[in-house]
Amino acid sequence: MDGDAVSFALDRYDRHFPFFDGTAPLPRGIDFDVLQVGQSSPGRDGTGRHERMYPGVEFDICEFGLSPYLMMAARGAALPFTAIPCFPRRLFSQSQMWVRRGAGIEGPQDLAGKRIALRSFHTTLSVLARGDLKSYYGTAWEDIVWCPTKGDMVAFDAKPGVRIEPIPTGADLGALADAGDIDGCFMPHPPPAMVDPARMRRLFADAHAEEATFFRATGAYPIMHLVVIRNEVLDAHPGLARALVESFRAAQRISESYYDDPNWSCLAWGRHDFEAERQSFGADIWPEGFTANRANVERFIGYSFDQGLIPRAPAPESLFAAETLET
Amino acid sequence: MAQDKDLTLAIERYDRHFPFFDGTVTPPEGYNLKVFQVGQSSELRDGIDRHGRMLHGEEFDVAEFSMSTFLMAKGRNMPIAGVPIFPRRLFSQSQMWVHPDSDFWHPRDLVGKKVALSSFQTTLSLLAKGDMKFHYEVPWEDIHWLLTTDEKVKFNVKEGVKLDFIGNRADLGKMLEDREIDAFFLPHPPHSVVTGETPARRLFADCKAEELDYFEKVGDFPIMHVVAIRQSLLDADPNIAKEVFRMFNESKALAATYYEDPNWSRLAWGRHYFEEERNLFVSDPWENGFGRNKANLERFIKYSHDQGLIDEIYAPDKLFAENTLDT
Repeated sequence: MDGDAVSFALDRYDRHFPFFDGTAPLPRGIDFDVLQVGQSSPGRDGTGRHERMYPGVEFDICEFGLSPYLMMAARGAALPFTAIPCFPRRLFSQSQMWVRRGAGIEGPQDLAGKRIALRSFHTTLSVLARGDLKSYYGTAWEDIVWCPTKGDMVAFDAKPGVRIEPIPTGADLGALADAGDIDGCFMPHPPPAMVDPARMRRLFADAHAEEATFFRATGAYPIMHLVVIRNEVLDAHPGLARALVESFRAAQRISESYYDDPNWSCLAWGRHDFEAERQSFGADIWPEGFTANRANVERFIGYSFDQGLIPRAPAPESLFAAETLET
Repeated sequence: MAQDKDLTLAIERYDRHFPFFDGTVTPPEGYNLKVFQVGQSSELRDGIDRHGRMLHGEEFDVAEFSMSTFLMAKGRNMPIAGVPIFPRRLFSQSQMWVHPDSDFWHPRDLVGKKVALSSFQTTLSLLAKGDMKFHYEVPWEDIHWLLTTDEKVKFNVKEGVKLDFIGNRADLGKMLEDREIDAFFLPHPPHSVVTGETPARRLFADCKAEELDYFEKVGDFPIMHVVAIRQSLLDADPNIAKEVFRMFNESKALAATYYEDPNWSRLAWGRHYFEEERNLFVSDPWENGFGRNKANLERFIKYSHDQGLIDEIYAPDKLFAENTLDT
């Protein structure tokens, strides 16, 4: 690829296909090299996107974890990149909470004293799940033993009394569950052994209904990822941050229109599902821009602070490129 | 080394075709694969009218093509070849729409009514008429059909069939609202209906239950499209049929892995729907190949003959390149 092109690393989602098939309008006057880079599973152009962006800063523009970005930004040190308020990945925590059959866990209240496998302790989904348990379900995350399977990208001092017992990288999680050494797994991409219905089940039998209720109560489809841009690239291309917000908005609109075709998806009832969700949410659950996402980001900052990951709770405004705060 | 020949491929924009658009599918050896995103009834990145351009212009080497028109073309010994790949499937039930205030809840309620179609031979039209007669025991001959697009292959209308060409497919939402028509059966509902601008509801109150019952009784997720190859290309390189078969299956398998990511889709519960459908269908409703789809093809040939689109019933072996009949 052209050495002068701006590299742009994104995961493979339906809403990113307009970037991969060239139908999303990109800011004018710049050559982009759109790369399909996965995080925990490989895309066309590789994997380990977040680690390649930090500390490596391999890409000019990159989809990145909300939690590690917040931790870096809240530490006040100069960062090599700045976020824009585009949020390509969102997850409810409830569907991602899997527990071992026979562990005696019927609801969130039964998690006290149990051992839950995570990706890293500060992985965005880990932070969200702990925060939701405490502030939405009233189950103190401090009473649970957390077993990360991966090291943290950003160092932090765990709060006193917090129990973190790492699982060695590459350990057989299925075998650990079968031996009763782990009781559950809260991960953004759970490995097959952790979603094997013979061994595990979702904590909430009707996670779909649980999440619909959560959305009505909080108004939030929780953010997992944002987008960061290398500061030198921002300096070299004034207006790029703002223009990219518009590109992401356009990509959202285009991918939403995919579902107009009743057979776009290999889901036989994909169009019905789309209509049911539109009715259930009654709002766009993928809004881009600062204003529509401020409360969502602010709640997450509260979770991160409560969990001892950041020394102080910064204003959401401080996290994003100044020119995007009016979006 | 010999220069690779270009192989032009025109396909619709579906999740299962994205491996063609992002270049992750392995191209056929000895060919330089050129992929075009061409719609049928709506404009995509590289244009519209895919079926007509393939049939009458031989504009592409390989193209996703209408199953019904293909049956007619083969029944007339027109020079076009096929491989048993079926990239689009629809149940007819979800595509039957009526006015929300009407008392129509079953195909039998439409006897003597005005029902709009795309063309008479459009695959969804063929399927809906055939399902009415052979699945619901409501003779399609008792309906007044209103046609909105031209027939790709000419045929003589059977005696006694009531049909009128009215055109203006885009206005069908408004016409239904004004009760100028009683229903429409279309592969893509009009834009005004998709957006909710004009009122319409599906004929069946619970399409999913109805379609699941149909799948259990009939055994198929009905075929809409097939993959056609330029006859002269197949004659020059018979092996291309096997390569095309391989490529589409590879693309389909890659796309199935997308749903392993719980956040691949902008449907918040996309992963749940995927799991539910897998449990409901048990076997893969999208399976390609001649053997698995023979019964579906025979049923369609029967429907096509019954509707006066082909003169004689023929064996489905006639449809495909010989070296793909063992699939």
